[in-house]
Amino acid sequence: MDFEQLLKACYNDVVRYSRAMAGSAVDGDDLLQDALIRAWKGFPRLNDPDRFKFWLLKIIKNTHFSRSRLQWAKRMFGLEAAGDLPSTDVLPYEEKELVRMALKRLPEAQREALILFEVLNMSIAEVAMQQKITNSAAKSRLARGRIKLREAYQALSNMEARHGARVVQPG
Amino acid sequence: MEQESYNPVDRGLKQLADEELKPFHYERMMAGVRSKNERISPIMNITRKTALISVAFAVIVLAMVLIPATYSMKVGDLVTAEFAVDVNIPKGGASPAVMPDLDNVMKAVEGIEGVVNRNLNINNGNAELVMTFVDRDIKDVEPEIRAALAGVVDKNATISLRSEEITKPVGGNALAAVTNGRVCIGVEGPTDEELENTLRAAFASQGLQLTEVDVKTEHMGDGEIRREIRIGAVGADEGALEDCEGAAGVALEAIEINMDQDGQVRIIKKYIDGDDEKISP
Repeated sequence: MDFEQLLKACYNDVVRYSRAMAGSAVDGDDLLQDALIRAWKGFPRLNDPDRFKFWLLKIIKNTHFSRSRLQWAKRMFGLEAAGDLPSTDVLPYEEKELVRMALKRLPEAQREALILFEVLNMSIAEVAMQQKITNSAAKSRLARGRIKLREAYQALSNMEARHGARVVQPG
Repeated sequence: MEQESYNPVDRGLKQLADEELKPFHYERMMAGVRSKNERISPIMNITRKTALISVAFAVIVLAMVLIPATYSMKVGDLVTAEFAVDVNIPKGGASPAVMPDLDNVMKAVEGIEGVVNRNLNINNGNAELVMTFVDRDIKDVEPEIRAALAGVVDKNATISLRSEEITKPVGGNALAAVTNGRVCIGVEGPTDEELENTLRAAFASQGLQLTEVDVKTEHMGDGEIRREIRIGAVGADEGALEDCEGAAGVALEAIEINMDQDGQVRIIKKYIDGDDEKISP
């Protein structure tokens, strides 16, 4: 099977994963595009096509970290305005957007675990395998992640209420 | 029928899981990937190759500069292997000869390895060439001088060489001007700030002017902690430095002193415990 055939089979999942990791649909699609370029180049080195989806998710995660580091460096040197500060533009309310933003406030490992389990509907065993941890560690990570997600969501909701407008990410 | 959750977080997660993509999302995404891939591939390849070549070149150059500079000299041997050579080029000889072209003589010897100084004097009609070498052995240098001069001096002229080895022992007044020092210590020891304050006090107690102290702690990853202290001092000699170390009361493993003398930087290493294997180069 070629690259595109394998990609089509899991395309919806990788888009959801990218968007949830990046914190917004726009950033997620940018992230996915960068990751797909890397994946395309690295595809000849993939030994087991059955693992394509997991392999691609890992590439997306690594690409996301690279981009985050780059953005952090740009912010440090004043080349780019902070990207995760909420603005108060009025946009149609969607709970999923707030959840996506709340996810972005979680530690990377917990965020990824929640996305894999809740958004991509992976099993505990698959989450554990993808994160290279034990099943029980994956369960604890998910439990801790849910608590933090609720706190982050609440904080964003309160901020939204204070501003009297919808909290959305710029860009 | 699935009951809808009243928890907004759960609802949001469910919406993310059920998110539908706009029509032609895949096609647009892949068009972007193809176009971006074609656009950046050649540049990325060149950039990556150039970066790799640059890094490799930098490592080689650094190794060529640092390894000999740091490790070629043995502790306690001598500060420098400097010697001067007088080359007497007499006017005349077995057959009538003329004084060689002095410019050509200077040019002929300038390429000899290790030459740091050349002076050509005319003395009683003879030319006297005085050269100073560093890090060379006189036995190796002599044939090179003769070969270099062969083309510019009359073949019948007699060239005599007189060498004088100039050694400067470590310690004492020979190290009159320590401009930079570096002290590496092991795992145990005070905090960076405490160490800096202690060193400043120790140097002051020896009447030395400390121009710079920079303490840096580096975690090596396997539990080992390497601490590096850069010291700049004026008027320090090695004895005074050791007194300072004693006053600082730190367990020093090695000292490296970069000194500037006669316009040259030289590096000396000394292992306090006399155990050279303790610090591997």
